[in-house]
Amino acid sequence: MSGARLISTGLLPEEITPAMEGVIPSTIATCSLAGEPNVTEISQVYYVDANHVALSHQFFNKTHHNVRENPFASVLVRDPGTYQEWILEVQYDHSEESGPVFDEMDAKIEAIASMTGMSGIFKLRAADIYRVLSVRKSRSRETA
Amino acid sequence: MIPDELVRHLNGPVLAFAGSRDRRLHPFATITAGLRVDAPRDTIEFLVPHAEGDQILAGYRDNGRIALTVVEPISHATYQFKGRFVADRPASEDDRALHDIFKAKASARLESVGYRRDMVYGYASWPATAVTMRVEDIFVQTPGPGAGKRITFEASP
Repeated sequence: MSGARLISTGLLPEEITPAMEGVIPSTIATCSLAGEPNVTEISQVYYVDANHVALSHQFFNKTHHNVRENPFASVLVRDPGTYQEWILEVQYDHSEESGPVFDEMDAKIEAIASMTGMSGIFKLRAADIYRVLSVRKSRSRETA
Repeated sequence: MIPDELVRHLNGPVLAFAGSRDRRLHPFATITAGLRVDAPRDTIEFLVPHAEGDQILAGYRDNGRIALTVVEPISHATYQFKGRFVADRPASEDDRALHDIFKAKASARLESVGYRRDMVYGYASWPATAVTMRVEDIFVQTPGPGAGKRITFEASP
């Protein structure tokens, strides 16, 4: 893409971590094998390590379905303090329905639900683990 | 015809995200600011900011597939409109008014629950390109058991 400023490749910078606290909903774009794009809000993108994130699989089966037939996705996360938006290119790796990442995401999602008046509606089905292919700051916030 | 309830949603205080994809089937999305509905023709015009618009517009012109997700940020009422690209053009001064009204409504809604004004106004959403899509499918995406449900509507001829 013209003008893109790559911050790092497959390595999440420390300054992105506030954007993964789930305070502001994130956005994920996926695409079916038939070529139909899909855009959905998700309540949390969880920092697993410098090369991986976990996305909450809650309701939206189209996202879940799409990444299993086409693993490439794009994720927008937003810092609640600065409102900086980041764009991550990711690749679906696997899904976890138990374990430490799942348990921590589950607890955070319940906290997010109670803050947003959605208690009892948000339910984590799985933690979908993605490999980060690239990350950069969105130009949408840079010239405002 | 796009149902009245959804026209009201589109004209309300909302945030909107446009999705596209390239030939490799790699998807991407960006925020949009400004929606114009023509319910009898099943079309929605939306403004794609140039700041992150290159890939989005290239995808539309290449393959014609569009996803547009429109979120009421406090109630979480969300609908996704899917359809095909009809046309694009440089945004005009009339579109600038639409853009400014869209941001004013969204910002007032978010400020009412404690977000700062720059949550919305910090987005570089102008200049922009106006994109017209023909809606073919509408899906509920409000969090809850109804998420993913297709909304039936009588498509215009």
